[in-house]
Amino acid sequence: MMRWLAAALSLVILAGCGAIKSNSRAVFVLVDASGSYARTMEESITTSRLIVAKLNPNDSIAVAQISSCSFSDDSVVFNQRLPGIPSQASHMKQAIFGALNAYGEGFKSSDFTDIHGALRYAANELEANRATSRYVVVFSDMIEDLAPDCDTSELSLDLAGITVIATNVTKTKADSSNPDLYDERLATWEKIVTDAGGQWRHAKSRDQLLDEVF
Amino acid sequence: MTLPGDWSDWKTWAILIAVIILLYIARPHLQRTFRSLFMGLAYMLNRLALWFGTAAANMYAKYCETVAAHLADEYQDKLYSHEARLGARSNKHDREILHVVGKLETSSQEIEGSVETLKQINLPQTTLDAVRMSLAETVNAKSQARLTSAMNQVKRTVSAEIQTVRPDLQNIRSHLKPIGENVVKLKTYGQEFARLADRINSDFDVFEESIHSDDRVAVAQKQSILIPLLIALIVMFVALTGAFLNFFLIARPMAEIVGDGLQILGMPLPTAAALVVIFLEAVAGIVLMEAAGVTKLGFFLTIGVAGRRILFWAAFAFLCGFSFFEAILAMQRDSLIILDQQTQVMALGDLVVEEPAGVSLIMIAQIMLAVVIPWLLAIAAIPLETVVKNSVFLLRIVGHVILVFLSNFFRLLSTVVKSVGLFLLRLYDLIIFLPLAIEQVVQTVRHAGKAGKPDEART
Repeated sequence: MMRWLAAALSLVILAGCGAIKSNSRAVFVLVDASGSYARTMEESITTSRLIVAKLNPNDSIAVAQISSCSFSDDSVVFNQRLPGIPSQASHMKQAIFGALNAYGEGFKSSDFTDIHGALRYAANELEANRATSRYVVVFSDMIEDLAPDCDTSELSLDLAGITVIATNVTKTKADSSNPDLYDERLATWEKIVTDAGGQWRHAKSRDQLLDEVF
Repeated sequence: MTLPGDWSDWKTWAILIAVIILLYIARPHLQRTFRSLFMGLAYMLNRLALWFGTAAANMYAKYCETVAAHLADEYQDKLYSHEARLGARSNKHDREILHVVGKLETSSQEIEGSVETLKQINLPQTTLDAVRMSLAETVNAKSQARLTSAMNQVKRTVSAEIQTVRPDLQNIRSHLKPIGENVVKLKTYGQEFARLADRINSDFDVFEESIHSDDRVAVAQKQSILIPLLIALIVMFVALTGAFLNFFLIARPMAEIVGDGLQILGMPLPTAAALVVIFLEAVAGIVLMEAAGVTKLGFFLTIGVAGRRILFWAAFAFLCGFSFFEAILAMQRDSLIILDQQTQVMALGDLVVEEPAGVSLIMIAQIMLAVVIPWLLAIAAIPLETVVKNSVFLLRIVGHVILVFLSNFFRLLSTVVKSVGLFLLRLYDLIIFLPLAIEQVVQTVRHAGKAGKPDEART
């Protein structure tokens, strides 16, 4: 009894001194559901599953789709925090795989692509999370096509403490004829993210993405 | 303007002469100052060297005394152990000797009986009686035939008599072999006791010497420090390698108990918890060995026998508990690995193949390892005593060597400072050798003048 009390007391003292800290991470995955990107959905779902599989207990994971007006709770596929116990976390991961597969099979492509709104939503969600490291993983061609009734181009973003990783950025036909367009597009998004206080990464492969997050 | 180094200029020479004259005038004061400075410093350094030398000697004496005391303790324990062994053996040998003696007595009685029987046989008288009877029966026969008949009669009688003796002789013969064996046994016991006595005497001599000998250095030098320390370190290294392996085995399933995601001092919580478990196992092992009297680290000097017994059983129960706990963790680890593998397979979009139910050989090996390792840690406590004690001895020796080195170093420094001082004084005199030579000539002349005056007065 005394030993447990001493242990508890030591933990309190250590926590007070800042010796105990969380090493959890939060990952918010944004999947482009626009018609131009829908063909890569299978790839995005598989990569998302791999991200989920590599998460540790106590980490958070959310998946939302980038659609016509993304700053909406309706765009969220799921938002979960894994339990601290490894076996329970594994079971939850398996449940999340089911949810991801169901989303991949049943999703409907959108007419527009509101990346700004999606980033704002992800930033808001991550701000509420007390994870040590926070990531937004964007599966998109990074071509924003805003709906007339949902113009978020002037939306302010606060991405401080967040790393935005664009991955599987597909090239359009226009990019093929002028590769500079592709680089310019990525540079523009890099500027938007860094201006908002975030860190920008472009993961060219799945392995690179996993290395960035883990 | 001319430079002072320009030897063709008269000013340089004038300055040089002025300096030499000044140095000559200041010689007594400056030399005194130099002498005080260098000799004083040399004296201080020499005192320091002496102090270090004394400290080194004291430390070595203390080391020798401690080692001798340790040796005495060791041999005292050995003597106690000999005493216990001797007691146990003498009881056993007493019983065996009694048995052998009983057998010998029985054999001796049997032989005595046979000898009595043999004593009662009077072969000449029997033979004579047989001849007489034969002669009496064949009164009418011829002398040749009578003699032949008598001889035959004697032969039969002697044969019959010897026939009666044979069983007794056989009896004696049958007893001779066990008697020989028993005698060999007794001799073996005697030799064994003699050997043990020699060892006891030898150990007792060392014990006596380690207590009473005035030559503590000789006593200390008999005790090897490095070899037992190295052996103990090797044993501890092996045991601690087991603990290290165990740490990796239990760290992962420990997350099932304490949870994951937190870090203590930069270490994941399950890792920290696994370390705590290993430390607790080590402590339980140390307590077990100390309470059992295997080690003598001195934790329980004030605790009585009953208290020690309680501590022994408590530590034993703890170690059993830890073994059980680690076995469960090993099983949990296995199921976690399977679960992780299934998750990885599902993440890649493949179908999960169900693992066959039951306990695999690897799992059995893990469980066995988990059960054994807490006890391995307990065994690591045995060489701990040697490591602790011999490390202290080794540190003392190292301290002694450092002090000796410092003493020699300062002595050397003192000599160097003294020599440098003397050299500078000689150099000083060399610079002003001309005024000194003149002074010497003047003094000689003056001395000669003073010496000449009494002669003149006398004349």
